[in-house]
Amino acid sequence: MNALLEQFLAETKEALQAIADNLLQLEKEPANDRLLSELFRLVHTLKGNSGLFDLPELTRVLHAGEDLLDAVRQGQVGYSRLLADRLLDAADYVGMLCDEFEAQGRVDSRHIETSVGLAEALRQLIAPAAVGEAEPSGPPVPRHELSPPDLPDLPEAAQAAADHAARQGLSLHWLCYRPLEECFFQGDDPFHQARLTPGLVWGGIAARQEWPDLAEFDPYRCLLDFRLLSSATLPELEEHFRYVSEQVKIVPLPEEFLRRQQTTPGQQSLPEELAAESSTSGFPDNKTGGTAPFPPAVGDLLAAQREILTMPDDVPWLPGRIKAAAASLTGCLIALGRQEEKDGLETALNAALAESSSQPLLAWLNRQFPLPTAEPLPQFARISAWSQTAAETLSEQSAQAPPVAEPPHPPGDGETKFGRRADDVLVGAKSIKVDQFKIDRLMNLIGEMVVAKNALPYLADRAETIYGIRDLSREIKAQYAIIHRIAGEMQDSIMQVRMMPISLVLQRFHRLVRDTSQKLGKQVNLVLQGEETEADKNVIEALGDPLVHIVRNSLDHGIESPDHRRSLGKPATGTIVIRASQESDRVIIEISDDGRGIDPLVIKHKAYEKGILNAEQMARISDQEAVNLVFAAGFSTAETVSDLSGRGVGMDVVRNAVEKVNGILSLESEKGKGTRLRLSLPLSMAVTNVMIVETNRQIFGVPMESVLETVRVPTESIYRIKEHQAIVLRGRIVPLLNLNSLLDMNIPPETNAEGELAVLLVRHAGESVGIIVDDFRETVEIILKPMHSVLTGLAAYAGSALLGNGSVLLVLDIKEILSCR
Amino acid sequence: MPLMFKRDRVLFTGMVTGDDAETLLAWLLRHPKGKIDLRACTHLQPANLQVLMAAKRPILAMPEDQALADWLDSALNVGK
Amino acid sequence: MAKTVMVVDDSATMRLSLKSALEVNGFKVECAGDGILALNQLKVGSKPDLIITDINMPNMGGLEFIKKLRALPGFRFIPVLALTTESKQEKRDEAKKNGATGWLVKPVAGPDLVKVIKQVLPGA
Repeated sequence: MNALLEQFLAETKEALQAIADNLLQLEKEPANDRLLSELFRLVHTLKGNSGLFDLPELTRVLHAGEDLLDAVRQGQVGYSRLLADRLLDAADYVGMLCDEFEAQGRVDSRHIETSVGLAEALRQLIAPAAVGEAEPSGPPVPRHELSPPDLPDLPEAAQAAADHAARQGLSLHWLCYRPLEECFFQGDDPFHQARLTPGLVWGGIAARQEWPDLAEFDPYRCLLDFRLLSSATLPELEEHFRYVSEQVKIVPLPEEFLRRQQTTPGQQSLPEELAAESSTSGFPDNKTGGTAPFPPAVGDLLAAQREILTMPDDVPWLPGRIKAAAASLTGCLIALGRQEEKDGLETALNAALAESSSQPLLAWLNRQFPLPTAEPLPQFARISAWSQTAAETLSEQSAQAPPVAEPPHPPGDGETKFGRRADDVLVGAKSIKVDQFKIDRLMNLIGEMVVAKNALPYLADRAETIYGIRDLSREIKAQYAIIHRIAGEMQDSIMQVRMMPISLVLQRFHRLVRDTSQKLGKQVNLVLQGEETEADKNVIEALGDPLVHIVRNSLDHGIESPDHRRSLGKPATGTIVIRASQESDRVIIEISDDGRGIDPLVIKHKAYEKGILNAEQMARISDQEAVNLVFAAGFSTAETVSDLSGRGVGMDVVRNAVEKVNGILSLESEKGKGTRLRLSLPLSMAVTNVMIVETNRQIFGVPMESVLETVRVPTESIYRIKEHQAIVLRGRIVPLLNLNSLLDMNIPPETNAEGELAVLLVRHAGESVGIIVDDFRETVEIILKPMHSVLTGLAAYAGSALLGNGSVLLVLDIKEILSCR
Repeated sequence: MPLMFKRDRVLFTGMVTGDDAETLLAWLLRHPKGKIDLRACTHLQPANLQVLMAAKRPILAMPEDQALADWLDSALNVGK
Repeated sequence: MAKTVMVVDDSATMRLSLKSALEVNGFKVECAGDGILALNQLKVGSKPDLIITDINMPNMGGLEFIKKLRALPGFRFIPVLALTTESKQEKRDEAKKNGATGWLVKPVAGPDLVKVIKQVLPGA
């Protein structure tokens, strides 16, 4: 995949999202012209871009969409829901094709039918009268048939040139080019145009009128007439003068006219003179390339392909290279009008791909286009170097993560700095796209730097305690303070780069809510708040699926049908609000609806039926606790499993997904009033705060999110119930577990001098659990790295981190440890 | 510079642009005896040609580029 | 001397496509994302020999851009090619009326591009 294609796919994806957003917005404000022109522009741009690639299915649909939107824009067609539906379908289809093109490098031919169907569906919406206009109109018919009286009075030199050309069997056209008076201000240079006239035999310039006095003369009012005699055909001339077609009159010079000219006395007797004159003062034939086998640009392309195909075959991207060369060659054939040779090319391509060798294609190329004797053009080296780089970039990137979609603007970069002069394609953009791989690398490096920096205090201590150099110790500490500050700022800045607005995940919900509610026959209004809240890219990405599930649940089970709502005295249209906000170092997302809410009684009975609760528990649990049972594994409140909130999975899936990114999920609901779900997620997952605990003379990290508090408990206040232990803490029973035994170390925990045990209270599945360790140590900020290779199987650990003194800290996965017990 | 102004003549070199026509006209107005040397000219934007046609000054040399010379011949030597 | 072409288009894909096609053919290329950005570049000293501009762009479209461009000193006579799609003769006429020299039909193939530029830019 080359840079252009990559750019195209990225831009298309962005545009498709914007198209969908615009369509949904238009549904609310169908009369908004600004939205409509924006929509048209987006589709128009996409269509234009799609033409750069061989994607006829894509272009067809986009073209139809563009025509339809143009008709809407002109007021010929009204905006309707049907129209939005079809356009959204078309947008989905285009997205699907792009994904396929990206993944496979081509588009399956089976899509043609869909493409034709979609395009037709779009065109049907254009008023029948307008359909004809949608087709590209052919070239305009020649306009300038001059009647014989208008035939020019050829100047003498022109007559001579005409006669000479006619004697050579050339048919001639006479052209009168009268540029607009203001043509210079259109960037026209009529003289240049005239000089380049194809097949030019003779040309002259004359003033249209007497020139005024020099003092009051306006040089920029064009008052020149150009008269031209050409041996080119009418289409060639029309093509050349297409930008100024209304300013040029073209007449074929009739035979008898020439004869008349030829019989003019005094002309016929001077053939040699004429020949001599035309060779000195006549114009050279501008039809360059007329004698060459093909236009120079095609020659360049062919030579470039030849160059590419002779490169060594031992590269992983060889198939891509072969296909690209074949595509270029197909283009050359089309350009040369030699379509009939395409079959041969295809055979050669297939052979080349099958043999993993450029040879078959190269052989075909040499057969169809024998090597010209001319020396290669200087561009070749550049072209092949370029394709080499492109291929390398490709192979490099295939091993990498996809690029970051849209990095946020760096803070402090306020207004665009206009007037910046740059040659890059990204001129004018405030942001740049950076491969995520590069940012991850920066992230890892700063992580290592923080760790390396943390070694300095140890060094300072050693300087003082072991070597007894106090001053040095102080200086090291001072230096450490500086490096600490800089490293901290650097870390912040890098984290900032990874921050993305939450709107990236929220945008798609307009569409989801619209389509789903339509399907369910419900009326739902989606309100998004705080979309600009930012969070780490990983957090944002992890949010997507749980949110979809939650919103679908609200639509499916929460919001009632319009009739039902009316009977309850509620507005027929239900409302779902997604509100994002930031609270210190966490992102809070609340999803609330004004639907039927959750009935704790129903939940309790369900839980009992499913064996999640026994009769005694059922009688005892509070309503809030009951509501939270929807998160229990295997619990689903829907009477029947619908295809929407789907496949029988319940809210436990959502909870797991949220907890995977250290998120916390809570739910409140009031029967008949609605449900509110609250997700709290860390802003960034890069730096983890852990508490270091010691047990059996080893240290372990425990993520601070899990830690509720630390307590010292005298051994005698521990209750033993059979093999279980528990303590009573502020009137509640807290089960106790021993970290040593959780980690399969059969050693009793140590107490401190006062005979107390160290108990770490952690949160697990919504309740508190005490874990007995030997001792607590400090809390540290670490860069958590996942366990590698063979260690990945150790589910008890969330990962490892380097400590300042160079030792490795294993960080416990509390959830995993407790659920495995 | 496509236009080089000497004491009594203006030399055209290479491609003479639309903006040059103003300068040319101003110079010719200030130098009523100024003459024209087109020898090194390869193309001139037609506003310049109009100035030359209107000014009717003596042409010291036609362009070495024969095709251009032929064109200019038709425009500048009409009166002769 | 290599001629400089300014490409004004809001689509990065189109800019990249034209830029590569032009550079392969020996032109120097400057790009801008819309009319306002292009004008700003021109005001601070960018001096292209030719401008290729899209018509339909946010912030400032091509027609307004060309009109404003013609009012800048040094750009009264610069050739400007408008990027259009097929089948829209009235669009082309409108572009000419606003000061465009000609038009290019998207997608623009390299050889066509060079041919058209040679036609409107003397010395290219």
